[in-house]
Amino acid sequence: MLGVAAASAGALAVAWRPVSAAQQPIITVRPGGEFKPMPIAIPEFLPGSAAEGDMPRNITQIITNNLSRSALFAPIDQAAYIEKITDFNATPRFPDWRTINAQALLVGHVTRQSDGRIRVMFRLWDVSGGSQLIGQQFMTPSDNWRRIGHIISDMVYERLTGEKGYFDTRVVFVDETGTKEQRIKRLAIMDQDGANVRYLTSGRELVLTPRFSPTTQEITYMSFGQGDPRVYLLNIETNQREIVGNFPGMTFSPRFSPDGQRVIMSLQQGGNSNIFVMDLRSKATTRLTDAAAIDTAPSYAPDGSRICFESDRGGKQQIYVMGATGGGAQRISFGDGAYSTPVWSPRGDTIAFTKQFQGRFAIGVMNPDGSGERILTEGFHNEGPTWAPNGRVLMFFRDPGGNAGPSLYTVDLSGRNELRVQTPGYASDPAWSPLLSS
Amino acid sequence: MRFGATIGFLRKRLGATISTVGHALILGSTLLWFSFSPPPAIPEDAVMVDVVSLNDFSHITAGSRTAPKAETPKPIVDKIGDPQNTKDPAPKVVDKPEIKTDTRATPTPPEPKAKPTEQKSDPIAEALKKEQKKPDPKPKKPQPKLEFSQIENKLALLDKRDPQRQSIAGATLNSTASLGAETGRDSVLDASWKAMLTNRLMDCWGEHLPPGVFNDDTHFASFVVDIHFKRDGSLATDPVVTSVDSGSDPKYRLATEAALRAVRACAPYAFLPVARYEAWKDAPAGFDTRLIDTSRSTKYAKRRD
Repeated sequence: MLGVAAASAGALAVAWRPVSAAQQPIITVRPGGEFKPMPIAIPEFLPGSAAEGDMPRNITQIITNNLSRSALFAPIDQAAYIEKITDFNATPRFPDWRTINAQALLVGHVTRQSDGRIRVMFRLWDVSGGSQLIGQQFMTPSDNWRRIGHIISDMVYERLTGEKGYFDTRVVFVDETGTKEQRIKRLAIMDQDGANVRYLTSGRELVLTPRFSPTTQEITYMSFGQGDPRVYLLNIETNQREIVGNFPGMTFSPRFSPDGQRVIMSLQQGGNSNIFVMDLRSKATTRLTDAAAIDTAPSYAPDGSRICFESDRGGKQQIYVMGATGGGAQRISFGDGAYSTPVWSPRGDTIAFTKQFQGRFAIGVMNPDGSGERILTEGFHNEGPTWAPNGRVLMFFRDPGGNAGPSLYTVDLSGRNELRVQTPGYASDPAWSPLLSS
Repeated sequence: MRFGATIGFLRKRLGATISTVGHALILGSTLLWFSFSPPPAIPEDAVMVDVVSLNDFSHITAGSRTAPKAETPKPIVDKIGDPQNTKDPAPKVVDKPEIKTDTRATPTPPEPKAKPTEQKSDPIAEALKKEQKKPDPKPKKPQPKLEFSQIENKLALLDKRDPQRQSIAGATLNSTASLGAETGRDSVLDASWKAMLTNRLMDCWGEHLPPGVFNDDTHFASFVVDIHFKRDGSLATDPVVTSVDSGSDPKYRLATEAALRAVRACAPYAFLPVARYEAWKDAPAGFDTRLIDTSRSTKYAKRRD
C-alpha cells in the first residue's frame, strides 16, 4: 500500500508533478473519514470611526451567514473568542484562536472615506500554521456594502475550499401573490441570500420559467400575454424586452447556450413539441428534434457539445441526451417513475432533474450517462432545480399543497444541507445567475 | 439368393460393428466424464480461530509453544525483599486524615446560598496564596544543605532498601506457553503502529479536505509531509511539505494545507509505541488524494517492508 506520485504519465502531465525523491515516505495516507465543516472565527469587522455605524457588523453578519449556509464552514460563536481584535494590522495571538479550535480567522476593517465611499479591508489567517492566506481591500460606494460582504465570502470560500464561490450572485424567480384562484405572477430578482428583491414585470401577464444568460445581464422567460405564450428576452438593467423568434404556435421552456449566443427552446406543433435553437444575432433557427412526441426542457452541457432534454417518446417522460446539432438521442433515465426538467451542472459532471414517482416529487442528480442516480430531497411537490454557478448547490421550489403557495429552497450535493430562502411572498421557478464579479 | 444372403450377412456384421462402436463410445465418454467431474467434496474439520484485535496483535510478544506450562500464571509483580527487615516508612503514609476532611466537606452542599460565597472566595486563588506564603519557612531548612557539589550528602539521601518491586519483561514474562511468535521480540509490531498512524491521519485528512474537490483521479495531489515526533507522540516540529513542485494550483495547495492542518490538529499521537520511538520519531508520510492505490509500481512501492 505504500506509494506516492503517479502511475500514469498522462495524468501527471495534466497538472501535477511527482514529489521529491529526497524523502521516502514510510506510510501513504489517503483521504478517509468524513469532512467536518471548518471552524472559522469571524470577529466583528473593526470600524475606522464611529461614523461607520452598523455597517461593519452588517458586513460581518453577511459573511458569517453565507459561510454558515454553505455547510462547509462552521463559524464559531463570538462569545467564545479569547482575543479581542483591536488592531487590524497586528498579527493575531494564534494560541488564543487555537484554544477555541478555530482553523481560520477572518479580520476586517471598514472606513468611510471623505468622498462618501467605503474602504473595506480584510485578512484571512491560517490559525494552525500561523500565516496570512489572503489580504485584500475594496473601495466602493457605501450602498454597495452587501456586495462587498458577498465578494469577501466568495474569496474566503475559494481560498479555503479550492472552488469558486457562489455568494455574489442573484436569483431571478416568479413572485406569486394573491389567492390560489387569482394568483398574480411577477418576475422578480434578488441576491442569492434573499435580500434586495426587485420586480421586473408588472404582473399583468403570466410569466414562467425565467432563465439567466450565462454571460450577460439578460434573462429569457416564457410569458402568457395576449395570444399564444411566447419566449421573451429581457435585459434586467435596461428593462427592455424582445420576443425570441416569430414562430407560429406556442414556444416555451427556453434556456441559453453556455456562450449566451443562442436560445434553445420548445415549439409546439399540433400535439407534439420539438426542440429548436435560435441564434440571437442572426436569428437563424435550427430544428434539433423531430419526433411524434413532446420533447421539451432542453439544457446544454457546459461545453456546449451536448443537450439533455425530456421526452415522452418512450411512453413516459424520461431524460435523453443528444449532440448539440441534434439526432442520436439516447435515453439515460431508467428508474421507476417519470423524469423531467433536466439541468446540466456547470461542472459538467451531473444532471439535476425532477422525478415523479408514486405521487411524490423528488429533486435528484445523475451522471450524464444515467448512472449514479441520487435523490437529494423528496416530498409532496418539489420542482424546477437550478444550479449555483459552482455546481455545488441546487435551488428549487417546493409547494406544500393546500392553500399555501410555493417557496424556494437550496440543497447541497450531499442532500444533507437543505435551507429555505426567504422571499417576500410565495416564489417559484428560480434561476441562478452566474457570478457577478467573475 | 446368394446376393441376398450376402446382404443379410453384411447387415448382421454391420449391426454388430455399430453396436460395438456405439458401446465403446458410450463407455469411453462416461469414463471421460467421470475423469473430468470434480471429486466429491470432503467435509473439512472445523478450525478454531481466535479473533485478535489490532491492539492485541500489536502487543504480541515472544513466546514458545513448547515451554513447560506453569500451573498458575506468574504475577507480573513479585515481592522480593522482606518488608519486615527494612525500615518501612509506609505506616506514616497510610494514615490519610485529609480524606476524612474531604468527605466531611462534601455533604455541606444542602445550603445553596453558601456556594456562591465560596466561589467568590475562589479556593484556587486562596490555595495559591497559601502556597506563596508557605515557601518562606521551607527554603531556610533543606535548600542550603542540598548543594550539587555535596555528592556525599546526596548519596546519603538515597534509599538503600532492597527493591520491593520488580517489573518483569522479555523472556521471563513469556516462559509460559503462549501463542506469540518465536521471533516476535518487539513490544509492538512494526506494521501495526504504521497502520494505526495511517488510519489516524487518513481520518484527520478526510475531516479537513473539502468534499468533492478531488473527485476524479486525473486531477489529484500527491506529496510527502515530514513529521517529527516527540517521545510522547506530540509534534517535535511543525510538519513540512517536502515537495519539489507544489505548484500554484489552488487545489494542490488546498490538499497540502488540509494535510498540515490535519497533522497538527490530531496530535498528539499517543498510541505510538514508546519502545519503537527510533522507528517513528522521523516519519515522512506520503499523502495522495486518490482513493485507490495506483502507484504500486513507483519507487516507493519497492521499499515495502
